[in-house]
Amino acid sequence: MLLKITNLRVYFKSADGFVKAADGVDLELYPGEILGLVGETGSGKTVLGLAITRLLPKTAAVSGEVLYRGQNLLALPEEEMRKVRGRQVSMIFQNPLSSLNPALSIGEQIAEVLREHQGLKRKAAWQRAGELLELTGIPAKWIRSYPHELSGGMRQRAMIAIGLACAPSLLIADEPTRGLDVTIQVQIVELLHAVTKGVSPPRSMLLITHDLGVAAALTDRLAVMYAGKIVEYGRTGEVFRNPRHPYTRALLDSHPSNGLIATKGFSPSLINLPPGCSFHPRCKKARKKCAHEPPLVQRIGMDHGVRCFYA
Amino acid sequence: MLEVVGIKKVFTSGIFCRRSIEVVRGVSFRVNKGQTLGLVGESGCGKTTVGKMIVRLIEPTAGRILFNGIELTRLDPRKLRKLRPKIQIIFQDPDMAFNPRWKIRDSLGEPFKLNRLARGKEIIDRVLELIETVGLHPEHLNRYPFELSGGQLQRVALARVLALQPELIVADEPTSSLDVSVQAQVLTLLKELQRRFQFTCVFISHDLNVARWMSDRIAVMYRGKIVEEGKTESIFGSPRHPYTRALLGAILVPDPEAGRTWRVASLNNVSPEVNLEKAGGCSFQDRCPHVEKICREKEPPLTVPAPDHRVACHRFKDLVPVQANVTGKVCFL
Repeated sequence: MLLKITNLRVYFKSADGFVKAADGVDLELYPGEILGLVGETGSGKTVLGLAITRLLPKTAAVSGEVLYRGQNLLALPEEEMRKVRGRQVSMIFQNPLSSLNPALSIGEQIAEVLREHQGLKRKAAWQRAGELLELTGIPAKWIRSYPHELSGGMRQRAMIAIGLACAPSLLIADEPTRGLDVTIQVQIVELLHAVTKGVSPPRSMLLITHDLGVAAALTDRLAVMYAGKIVEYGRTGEVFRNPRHPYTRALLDSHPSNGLIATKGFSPSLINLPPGCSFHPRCKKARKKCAHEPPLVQRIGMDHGVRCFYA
Repeated sequence: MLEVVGIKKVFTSGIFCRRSIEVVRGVSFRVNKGQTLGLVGESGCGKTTVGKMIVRLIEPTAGRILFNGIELTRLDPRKLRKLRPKIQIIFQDPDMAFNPRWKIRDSLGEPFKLNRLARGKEIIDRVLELIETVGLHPEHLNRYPFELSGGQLQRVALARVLALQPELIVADEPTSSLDVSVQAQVLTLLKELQRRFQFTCVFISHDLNVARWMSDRIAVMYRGKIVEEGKTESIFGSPRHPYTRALLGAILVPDPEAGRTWRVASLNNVSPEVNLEKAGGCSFQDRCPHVEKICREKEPPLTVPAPDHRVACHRFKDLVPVQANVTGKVCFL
């Protein structure tokens, strides 16, 4: 197993109470596998990605265990963690326009990573940056261009090139297709497929997305997140064909190609979660029990689990 | 009824050396009363500019826009002001569409005050009625925009538009910043309201799937022109233009079995901004997998391949007809 997350909790203190962005998350990621983490805005998926790479602000209270190759990342000294970041685990951030440095050319930004983590000399790093750009589908002659000169799709490619710079074994991609046109989206999906499944040995990826189409195209396994908890996990085909949690079903039904069937209500605020099952106020199947007792994860098959009493 | 005839828009920039870009290059369509036209295309194709020209936030460089037979483009400011309440627009990003210092109640009351439709306590009643029409709670009225989620704010935007009982609504990507489940709620609401209040709608979207669900007719735009237009069923059932086909093929369906068949790489990867003012020929030629000599020489006119269907392509007859899977599960490039 490459990554094993056990009982991860991330709380932020606010004036009104604790914001429970991740509330007891368990996840497993095997070598060479693409795991999709799907859920809505505010369900805590980005926080989870940041917790793995320890990039959360100091105000976050983190507990639990993040084992990467048997080593607990949460307990590593910052010095050691810097070595893991980039070389072992690297993150492709959401929204390249705000994540890229507007004052540096994309070549410089990639070369910087290479010099910092791999100790390459200036010239070698520059050359490797060109190769990485080519690899992600940007002509190497654009190496001196600045982020604002690139289109959205190209900027996303540049982000992926930076993420791949040190050949990490685990990529964490946070909403890599958000805000792109459909035609460009497909190209990014193809690229992500090529840099994970297409290399040998295959590289693992944690794909954070709200787009079920992207998740279906790329992932091997899927974890569905709602209000800071994983409510269903399983093999992608199995979860799509046979969704057992009412929220997973609602999410699938609300997709435009499945008829845009709306679910009543809003996602709860992470400060004031409903008692019992967080989904019960919106759930069609909810019964009395759901309102006071929080459901635990039940295994309902080979590698398929659901956090629901009546799945 | 809305009729748009050959509208164009040229933007110029620069002080010393005037550069101009023709963003909309002759767009015509009709939307019948109470119906919805979906205007679809990639970012930069000019769809938003068309929407803004319809409500006259941008003046067209050429062409005419007729609303119930009245020519909006020639209307003097006084008469236009009288007509404005009837023609409304919903913007893409609800966060930017509200005054952050105003409570929701003030934003919703404003259209009544501006148009002198109600006064004093009557405004409060109307605002209360509106907020319930869009499925929100009266307590939301006392909040500020930042206290509401994107989906809730977009509902408020809908309410504000409905205040004036419009006959035409231009919805510019109203859900592209929302999550799928919230998108479903907002679109269901928009459709329900249209059934109730019978307004005509121009629905601008980059998502074909969404447009399909919302629209009676679809117009596909590419680089400032409509390349294909027809009834929603016929655009999805038998798409003729290679670009429409590419767009349909690029839909990622939430189905793992279908999901892996994508093959859009054959669509040449040039961003639409490049070579916009290339001389002559079809504007899709540099990305089209079926390009031939004639495509580089002559611009294809809009032709009628089937009743009530228009397409601008020289080669549509030579393309293999597809019984496109309705969900776009087949990629047919």
